[in-house]
Amino acid sequence: MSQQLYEVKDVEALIRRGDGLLLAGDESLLRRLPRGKWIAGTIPYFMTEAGGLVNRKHIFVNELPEGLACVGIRRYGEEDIARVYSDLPARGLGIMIAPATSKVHLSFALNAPSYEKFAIRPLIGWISGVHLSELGKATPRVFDGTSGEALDQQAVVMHISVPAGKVAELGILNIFEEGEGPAFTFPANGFSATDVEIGGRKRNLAQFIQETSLDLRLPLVADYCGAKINVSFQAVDQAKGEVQFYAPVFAGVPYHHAKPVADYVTEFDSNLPKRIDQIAFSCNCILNYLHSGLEGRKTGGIVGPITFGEIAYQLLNQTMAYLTIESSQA
Amino acid sequence: MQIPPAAHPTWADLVTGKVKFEPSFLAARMFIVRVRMEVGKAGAKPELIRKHATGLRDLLAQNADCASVQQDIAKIFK
Repeated sequence: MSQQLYEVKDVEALIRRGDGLLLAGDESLLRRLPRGKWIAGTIPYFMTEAGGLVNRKHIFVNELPEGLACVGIRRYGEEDIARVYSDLPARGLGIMIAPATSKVHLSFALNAPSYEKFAIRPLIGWISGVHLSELGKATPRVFDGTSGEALDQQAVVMHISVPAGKVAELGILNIFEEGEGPAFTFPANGFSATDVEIGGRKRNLAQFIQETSLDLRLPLVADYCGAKINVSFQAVDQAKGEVQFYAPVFAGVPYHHAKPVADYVTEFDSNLPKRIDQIAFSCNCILNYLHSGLEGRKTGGIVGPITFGEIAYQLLNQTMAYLTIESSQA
Repeated sequence: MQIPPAAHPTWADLVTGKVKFEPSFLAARMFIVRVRMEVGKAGAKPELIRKHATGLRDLLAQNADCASVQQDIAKIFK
């Protein structure tokens, strides 16, 4: 199983071999690929064995581990993404890529935990993006390799079969922890908020951020039965008194502003999963890449695309998501 | 491994939060938090609790080959 950057001609050869491939790269490169069993998303940032880097001349290729096979590729729009879990194959998993800010991205982010059969089988993936210098100019896209089409309003999901004796499991590595400040609770689910409860008092969040000089590089963190789930700040509009997030906040969940992190890579390395040799796929967040200065730095040998959002059952922020394939315990 | 039926009262207690438990299995963590929000909002109607208790049991049964699920089941029903 290979997880690395390839020249386009080498990716073409891999596709013609007929294996299932998970690809990430610049749109102009992905448009040159032949049809086959692959899905892709646009992004020029990667964690590689050489460290974090920006590369618009190569495609990141994630081959499937031995024994796993692509058994289909589906597309979903906003209107049918709710079926994504019900459609996953028995004894299998799904790898999903959705274009950033598309309707399907926003719908999945808000509603995935309420989908029928939520999390019944593993669903991992990422949100495609663009070079940060092209935000608002270029459009994030995904590709359905069976037709070679580039899509900006649909998600693609590769269905993957897992052989007998093996089991797929998802994990996350989030170095952020809840700080000791007040709890934030939101009146409604959504990607933005105005008035919220902070420490039990109703306050305007934008105003609170200004008054307290809250470090917006650090996410809000919620405790999901022991799993730390982040919501990252996107922008603050003081005129409107509104704060926007990269993932939705959920009503009734208490969030805390994260504790500062001295050095991301040091924390990351000390929290690495035990069996990194069994990681079949992983991705990490563009905000970790930016705020933690990952360019040129290595994260424990873990490689993959740098993304505009991570999926491990539901949408995540500022988190590394990973898939392991292990021997079954049955 | 044997997984108790959905009618076992512990499943409902996990859904309502009466039993405090932090699963190792990531999907169970996300599922429990989501259904507790729903159960809380709806005033803990018995049929809703039963539905989510069945859902939680199904989630673990469908993933019973995972080491983390087996650890969780062993701890919940020790």
